[in-house]
Amino acid sequence: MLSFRDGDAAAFESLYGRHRASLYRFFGRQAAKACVDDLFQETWLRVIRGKSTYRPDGVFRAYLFRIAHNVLVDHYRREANPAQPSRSADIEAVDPASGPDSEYGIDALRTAIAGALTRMPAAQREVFLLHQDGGLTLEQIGEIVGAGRETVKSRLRYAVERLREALTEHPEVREKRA
Amino acid sequence: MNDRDRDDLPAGIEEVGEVYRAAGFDDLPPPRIDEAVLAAARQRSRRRVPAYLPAFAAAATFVLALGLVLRPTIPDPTPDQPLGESTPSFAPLREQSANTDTSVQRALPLEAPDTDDMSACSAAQRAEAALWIECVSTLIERGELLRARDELADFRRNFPDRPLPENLTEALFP
Repeated sequence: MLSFRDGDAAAFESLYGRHRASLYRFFGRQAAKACVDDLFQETWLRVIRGKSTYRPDGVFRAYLFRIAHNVLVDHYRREANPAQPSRSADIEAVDPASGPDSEYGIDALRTAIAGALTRMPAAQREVFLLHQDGGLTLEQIGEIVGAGRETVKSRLRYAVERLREALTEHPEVREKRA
Repeated sequence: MNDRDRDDLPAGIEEVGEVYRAAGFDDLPPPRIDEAVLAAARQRSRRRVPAYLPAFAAAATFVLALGLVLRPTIPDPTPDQPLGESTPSFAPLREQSANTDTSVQRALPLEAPDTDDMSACSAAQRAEAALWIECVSTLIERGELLRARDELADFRRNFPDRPLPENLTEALFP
């Protein structure tokens, strides 16, 4: 990011290539499909516009997801529906029985996870995704969402419980429990 | 992730995390978004200007503005240097009515069209010695002694053998 700040466009391409997939996933699990592209692009444009004020006081990943969090909050405000930003219908629908795999195929697993994430409170969902997709620590997540470490830990615990309940019948989970 | 984080994580997070990764949410941004973001980054990199440039531009603007405000005015031409002769763009002004701007009028010759620009006497008068002398006498009577002297000097050059009337030489060269 410092190289990009100093005018090296190739440095940005490297950064972008490293983080684009995780950031797109982060939005993909939290916003309606039609909005994901816009949120993703807006986040990167804010990174580009803010390059002159960038201060290397942490890892770039945390900086990027802090901007993504702000973009998401702005989006929720516009939509005025923070509790359910992504309806089930907006997530790629998969009929478990119709696919080439069994009921517990990969598509069914995705549908189950996406459904569980959609149903949980936005704050718990975001903490879980910042941890999984962002690869951030509890402290970093706390700084981003403006909550203390214990609060973040609590939200993460609830999110995990909800996901485990949703996946309890899935063979992937059963195998791991066994 | 540090040890403290790992110890503090809720039970089951690793198991759920593995399942989440195994689900392979591999959705990626469409190519048009990639291109738009990278183009914006390249554009922003090119737009970078040296830090001193805004200050330099402001200073240059100030100096230019000051130069325009304090620009010296063009002095009015004197009758001895009529602009009408040397500046063709003034020629149409000769045909304008008497209401034309006085500064322009000052720039034009005051004599009649058949008169030499620098001469007080007309060409017809200067062609005939007696008429020329008469013109010089008229100038003396009007008190235009400098012009009369010039005319007389010209007269001497053109009619070197012609004697001058005494009253003229006394009046001009006492």
